[in-house]
Amino acid sequence: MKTATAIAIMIVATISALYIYKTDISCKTTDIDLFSKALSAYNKQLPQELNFTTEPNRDDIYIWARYILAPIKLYYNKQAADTTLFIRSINYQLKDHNQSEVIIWYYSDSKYKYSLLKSNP
Amino acid sequence: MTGISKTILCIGFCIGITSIVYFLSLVVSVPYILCAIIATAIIIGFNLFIFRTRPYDTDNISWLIVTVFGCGLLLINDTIPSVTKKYGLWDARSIWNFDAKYLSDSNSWRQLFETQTLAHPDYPFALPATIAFLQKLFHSNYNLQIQFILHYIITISIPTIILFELSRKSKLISIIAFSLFAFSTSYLQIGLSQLADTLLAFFLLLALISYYESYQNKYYLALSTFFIGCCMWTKNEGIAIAGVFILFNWRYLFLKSNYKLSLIGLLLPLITTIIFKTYYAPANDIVSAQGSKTLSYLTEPGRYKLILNSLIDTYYQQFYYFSCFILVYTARCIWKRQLPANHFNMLLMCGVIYFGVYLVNHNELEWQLFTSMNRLIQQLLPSFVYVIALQFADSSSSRFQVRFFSNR
Repeated sequence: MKTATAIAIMIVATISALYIYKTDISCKTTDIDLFSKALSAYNKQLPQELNFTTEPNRDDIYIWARYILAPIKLYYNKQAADTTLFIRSINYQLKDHNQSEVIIWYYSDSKYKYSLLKSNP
Repeated sequence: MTGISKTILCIGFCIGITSIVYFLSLVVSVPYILCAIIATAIIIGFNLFIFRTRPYDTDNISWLIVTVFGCGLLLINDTIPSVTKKYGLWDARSIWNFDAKYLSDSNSWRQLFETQTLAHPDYPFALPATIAFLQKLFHSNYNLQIQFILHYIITISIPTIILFELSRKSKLISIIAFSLFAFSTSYLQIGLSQLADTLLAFFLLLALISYYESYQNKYYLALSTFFIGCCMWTKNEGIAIAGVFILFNWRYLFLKSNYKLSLIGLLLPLITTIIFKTYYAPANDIVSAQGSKTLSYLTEPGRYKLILNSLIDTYYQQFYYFSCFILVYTARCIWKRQLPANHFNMLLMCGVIYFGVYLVNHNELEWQLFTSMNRLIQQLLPSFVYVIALQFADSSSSRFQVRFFSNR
């Protein structure tokens, strides 16, 4: 009886924890969700390999982009594929633009700008 | 062993065996359905064994303990919103959940080992493989709730098994030990941040509990070595922990009457880890960075001071009551002129190895300490608490218990 009660308490606690997570935590919009939403606006199939660039000292953007896009392979600050995903903060100013790349997709939200750049043959 | 303790042993076994079977099924390209059937058959067999070996010790659980347990879980659940992040901490996104996403795709999982910045594909797969297995089981398109629930169950299982196991010896000590976890925001924060450190702590604790239980039922020795093998399969630090565990217990583990059971338990996780490390994982960055600088790191007094200060600060700021508990035990040993328990020394040895790894670490030491010291403490803390509480419980005043905490 006591063991069954203890197990029942554990099950009830787990269900209520799940409810707390659903109602208090998972409903909050994070940067990762913004990116996920932005991607849903791109209605074509992404290539299996992408170069990735972002503004300096923002490894975190690379980490969440890679997490959302997995198993697509992202080359961080390398030119190994012919398409580049570029994510930067809305306030970040581009100093120069690589003329050998064309923008094939662009999206922006309240915090970030997202672009897909394709190398010119 | 109480029924709820056995249930928690089953949870640990399920996580260990599921991750191993799932990874091996990926290696030999077995369809998922077959993998699920094999894992289920092993788990059912295990449950039949563990729940039939000896009857429940229901008499040893009191309503007081059940009530404390309920209140503790209420307190833990109340803390969840303030300590939980939707996608976990940095390492959860860059390593564990990221690996899990690859592993849930049976076609492209091998690509994980191709060079990826900040991904650490040399870390073993106990956690990612379990998540991947569960994601596939529920046919989900990467459901975050599955990861959260897995980590929540692991996080509450640790204080639960400590409470119910110790309550057989001393209710007061078991309640104190349980409260340390229930009131610790740091413990819950690390536990719910979707990292593998708490899983490693869980396996180590289960290995110790099964080890003590094996004095009464020898078959638990196989379970103990299985869990210590799962430590290896969870994190690289687990390999050091398993080595130290075997070193400190080899006389008992490899007695003529015991060695077969010890080897049976260890075999599956050991083989899986060897396959992973030999054929798939790249070299560990800390190991491969060793060379001419190692000696200069070891002879630099400033590094020792920095690590020691970080250790003391982290204990004091994040695990204050735990450190009091450990200090009281140390003072008791000095007062009674007793040597600490063998397993306390074993855990200290693991701590010394962690200290050594920090010393020879090629990354910026301050940053490394800042990001990982609390997690390394978390890996050993539950076992420290259990071993110390067991010592206290064995010698606590029986008169006091009879008067205030008698079974109802």
